Amino acid sequence: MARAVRTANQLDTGLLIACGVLAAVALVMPRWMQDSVATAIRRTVLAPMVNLQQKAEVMRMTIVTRDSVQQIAGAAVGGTLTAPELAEENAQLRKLIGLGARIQNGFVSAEVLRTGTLDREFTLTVSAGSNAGVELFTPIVTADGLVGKVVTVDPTFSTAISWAHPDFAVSAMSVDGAAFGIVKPHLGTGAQRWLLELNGVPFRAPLKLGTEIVSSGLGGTYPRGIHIGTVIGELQTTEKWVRTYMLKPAVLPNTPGPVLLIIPSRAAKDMNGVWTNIASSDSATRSIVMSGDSMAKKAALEEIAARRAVDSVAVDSLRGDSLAALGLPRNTPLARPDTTKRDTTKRAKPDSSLGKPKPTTGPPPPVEARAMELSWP
Amino acid sequence: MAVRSQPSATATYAQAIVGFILLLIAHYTVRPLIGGRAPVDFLAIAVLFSAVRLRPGAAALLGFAIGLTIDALQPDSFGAATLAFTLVGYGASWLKAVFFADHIALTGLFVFAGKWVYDGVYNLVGPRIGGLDLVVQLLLWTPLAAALTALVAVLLLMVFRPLYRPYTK
Repeated sequence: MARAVRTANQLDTGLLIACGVLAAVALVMPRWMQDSVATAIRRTVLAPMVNLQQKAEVMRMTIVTRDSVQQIAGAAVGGTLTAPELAEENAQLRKLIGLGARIQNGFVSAEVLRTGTLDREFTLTVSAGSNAGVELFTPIVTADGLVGKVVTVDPTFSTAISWAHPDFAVSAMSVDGAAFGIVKPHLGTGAQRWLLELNGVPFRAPLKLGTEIVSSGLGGTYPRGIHIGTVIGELQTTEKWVRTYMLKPAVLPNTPGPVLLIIPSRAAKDMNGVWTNIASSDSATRSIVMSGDSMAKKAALEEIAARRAVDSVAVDSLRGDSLAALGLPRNTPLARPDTTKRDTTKRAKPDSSLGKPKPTTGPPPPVEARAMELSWP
Repeated sequence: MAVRSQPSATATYAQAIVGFILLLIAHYTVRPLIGGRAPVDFLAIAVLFSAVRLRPGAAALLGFAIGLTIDALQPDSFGAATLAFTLVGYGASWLKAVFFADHIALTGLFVFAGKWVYDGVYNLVGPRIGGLDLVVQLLLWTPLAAALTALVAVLLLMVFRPLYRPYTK
């Protein structure tokens, strides 16, 4: 009896040691081996459970969305004519649609199923997998900029790391291409944990505050031109030959909602100008306003010219009528004797208003209409 | 006087398996619906409730298997949940003599401690967090999650008593 108990105890200890050793091996295995084991488990034993989990999460999102829709409807019934939340959501969706149009067909749209929870702050699950064309290291973006990249792909969903993950790195540059470097998460504490660092910028390429940083396209994972963040300050480091800047990220990683996955095989390698920034939109707005002003000025000048033309036609008409009354042909020059010589010698003066093509005598188009034509090409 | 008969071993094991499967399903269906920063861990309840019916070696093996399924969904920290649940399963089974009395409060305490140990081991060997974040995680969010898990475990034990009651002799 005692021997049986001892054997059982030895068996228990042996199982504990075996399981512990296997778990430790799993911890230190190379990443590709971990991924292959995890993928095998997910696609076989765990597949029904993963399916259940996905449906539950979609259901939760539906419930959450329904609540917000009901809130908006209630606010509308209450007589609120302005719905800022709805307007903001519409603006976000419009931006995303605009982004999709600019990327053309090189993307897959997806929903973020689960953002960071208790133990997964820097990873997220997106509702698109290999069935939709998602591949390993596919970049994830929103209308505001870069979110992260895919690290595991399953048929119906993918797991990704956000830019805040310690493993995240992207080759970056300033929008004007003056400075290059590597963007990594700023591994600080507290709120600074949610900032980015631009490392390795050459000392002779200083960046101003507010400079926008985009992906450089080097390395092949991220296409050139994806908006990453904005410079908010320079960090003092021991490396005196390079500069390090702190960036405010373009996208908060815990922001749920729709995202786009840029499929490398279908997307363009260069996405410069796809992500509109504030500066460019401001300059575009300014140019439109200036164009409107110049069109108004041009229309006003045309109106003045048209009035002058109408006046000159009226004079011609009066002159013709007078000649007809005198029994002379209509093209007889009508001039005072003392001015004949001067007129004949100066008739072909190039800057004479009569030498210019006359504008049409109809009323000029309204200024507003011309400006609108310019605004909507 | 009516005498309450003890169910057969087969019926006990069948009930245990059904209870385990229900908890497994709840983990992948109910937990995502609840969400939150300190979620209920139905798998921890399943491992702990099963461990008190098993020998320590078998409980360690069960913890290993359940941990592996968790790690499969978290490639960022592969192996951490496996190691943590292996230790928790073995420890829970080894300590079951303390809890054989089928006391509700003791069961709650047992689940609370088990979940806290699991989260502690997981956070220490798994995700690369450290410093203040780790302290906040271990002293704030982990106890909250453990308390919520213990509360749900006690409720389950009260509502589904035939499935989760540990029949120990």
